[in-house]
Amino acid sequence: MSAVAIEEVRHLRAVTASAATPRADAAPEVRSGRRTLVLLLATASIIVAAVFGIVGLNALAANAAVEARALEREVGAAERRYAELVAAVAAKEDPARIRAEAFELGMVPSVAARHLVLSRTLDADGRRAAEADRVVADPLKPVLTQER
Amino acid sequence: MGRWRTDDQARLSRRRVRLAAVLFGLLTVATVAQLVDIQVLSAEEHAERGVRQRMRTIDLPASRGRIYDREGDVLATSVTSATLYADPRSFRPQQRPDGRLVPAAGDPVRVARTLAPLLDVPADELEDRLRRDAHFVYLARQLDLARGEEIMALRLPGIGMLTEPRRVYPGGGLAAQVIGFTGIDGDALQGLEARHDDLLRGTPGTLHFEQAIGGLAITSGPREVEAATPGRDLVLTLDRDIQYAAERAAADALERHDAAGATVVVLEVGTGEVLGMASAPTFDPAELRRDEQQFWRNRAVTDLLEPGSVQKPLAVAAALESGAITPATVLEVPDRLTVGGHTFTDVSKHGVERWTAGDVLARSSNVGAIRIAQRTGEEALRSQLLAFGYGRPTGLRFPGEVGGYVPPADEWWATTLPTAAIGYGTSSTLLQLATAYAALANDGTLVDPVLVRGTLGTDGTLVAATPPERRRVVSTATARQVLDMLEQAVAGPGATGTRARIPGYRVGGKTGTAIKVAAEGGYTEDEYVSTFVGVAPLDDPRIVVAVMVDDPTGAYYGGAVAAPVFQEVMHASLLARRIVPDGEGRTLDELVQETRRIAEEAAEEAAEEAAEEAAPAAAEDPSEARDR
Repeated sequence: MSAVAIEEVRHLRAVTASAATPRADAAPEVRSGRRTLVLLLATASIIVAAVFGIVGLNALAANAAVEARALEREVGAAERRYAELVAAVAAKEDPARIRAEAFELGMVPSVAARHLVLSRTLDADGRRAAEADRVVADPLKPVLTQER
Repeated sequence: MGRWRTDDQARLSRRRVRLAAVLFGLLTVATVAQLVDIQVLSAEEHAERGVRQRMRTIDLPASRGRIYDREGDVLATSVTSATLYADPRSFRPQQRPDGRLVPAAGDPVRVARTLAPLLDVPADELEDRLRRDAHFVYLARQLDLARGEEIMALRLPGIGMLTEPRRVYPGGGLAAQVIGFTGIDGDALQGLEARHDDLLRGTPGTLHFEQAIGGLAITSGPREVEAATPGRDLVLTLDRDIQYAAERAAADALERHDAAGATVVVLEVGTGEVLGMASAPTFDPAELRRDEQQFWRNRAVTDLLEPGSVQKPLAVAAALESGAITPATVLEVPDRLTVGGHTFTDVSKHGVERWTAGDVLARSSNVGAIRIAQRTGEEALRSQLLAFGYGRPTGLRFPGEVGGYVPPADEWWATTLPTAAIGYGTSSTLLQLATAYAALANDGTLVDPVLVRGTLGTDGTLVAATPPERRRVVSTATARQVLDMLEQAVAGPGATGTRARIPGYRVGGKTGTAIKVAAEGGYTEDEYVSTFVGVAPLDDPRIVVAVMVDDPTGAYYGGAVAAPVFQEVMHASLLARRIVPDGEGRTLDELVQETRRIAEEAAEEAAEEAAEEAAPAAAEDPSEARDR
């Protein structure tokens, strides 16, 4: 072997563009494979996430629906109870029942009610008299009295 | 040989493959055709069928509106009730379509015996229902919800429960003839329930939801609710306390006089609002099967009466309005008068008196009223009665309301005028009479009576009803003159209505006693209608009360039978409406003096009693008496 040849062997050969070409041809295939894999994984992840998301949302919706139904039942029961109480209160307020209860307690009907003419008119009396002059409904039963 | 077999098998295989291909082709064509049919040609039908299979629609009943009195006290409301049903076929073994035998769900005898005491229905009757050949029978309707849930907790086989609204009248029979009632299915049948059913009923809603096999709702499935629109709440003009006072007074009068019926109407002057409207006997809407159907009607508007003497003030108003007389006009009034061949007499004998119209009314003189009517004339009297609302229903439009009768102008014979003057030959309802008196009390302006103040809006405020019609029927002067005469008829000398007086209030009114018309025509011998219509307080008339007692036994004069009822109801109404007395009251000093006098009298009585007790003891033991 000549000295030049030995020199060429002993030293690293400079890589030329033409020499590097085979390696450059192999790298895009690897990258493309990786990219595909990544894309597949990402797609799968998105699909899985979407599926889990949808399932999760459905579960939340179902849970909310169950709670809503439970609340509706509670509202319905409360409304039923309210209606029953309204009827019960009205029955308790029935004048015939109150009269019967009063008799049971030993009360008796008053003799003809009388009225007084005040010789002195106090401020409060005056106000009361002025109120009495107005056409007012029963102040003890204010539900409709003030045209609410 | 082998080669022949191989060729033959190959041909066979090819033929088989072709056959299979043809079959698959046909199947594919059939499948595609079916798909085209399902997806394109009859897609809508299949879609609808699918929806029908999985979607379920439930009607949501609208809650019926409440009925309140004028102050907001509940007169009618609805509650949820339980209705129990059974599937009788489940109590017998059944064979399914697939041939499997399903055993009986339970023993109907045992179930009937368990339910009988809870439903208050005989066990035999329940057992009979459970043995019927049907899939559905009612066992009990509209029970208390708690009772229904208690029964369902027993888990009896073949028994189910539905909920449905039940109408409740908390006051029992209070204002029953006015309010009316609904049937078990919620249909309005009587009274204001029927009259205003369009307002009270509301509009049902619907609930659409997705269901799984077996009918269970899919919780997360679609759900559409068209909410039911509840009925409007009705606010009446009735005052519960006045209504109760009127009903109690009517019931007492019925019992006291062993009468066939008693009716009371309470009207507010100026507004035409009916504060009370009572008829006895009455009924309880919860006991419709027990009470007689004839008690259901509101006699104040459905029954006609010949008013008798309570019509005389209307005849006097006609005379004053036409100028035929003045309050000072003096008439010569004998105790009998023959007109058209018929002799009319006064109740008590008297000579020829010189009476004014006020005297005539105070003494309820028939002859005097006829004398006044003769001056008035037929047409003026007839047109005045019509103006007062006779002959046509009031604006109330209550179910079954009648309008009364005034003879047409061409049917007034010689005796029509005198009979009309004293309240015969014409007819009206008690409400019409009360309305006519309210017109006199309202300075001559008639206001059509009303029973409904309005409805409650969604925010709870009162939406007022259309105001009633008003029209002038007599002048203010005439109205006031008649009112003054009505006061004489209660408080004046020789008055027939003295039992209508109310301490502290100026009251005006008129008694009436009319012989009843016989069913077969003519008049009865001994059946009367006692009436009283009055106004108070006269300084500022606020309330009119009209009373009618039908066929009282024993005493039958209006002054004796109807006037006390008027007094009781009017007094209760004045107190309930907090109307200030206009009569003479007592001063505080007078009350103190009276109280002192009562106390002194009581002390004297106590001292006398003590002395009387001590006297015998002292006689027995003088020393002991001294020690005391």
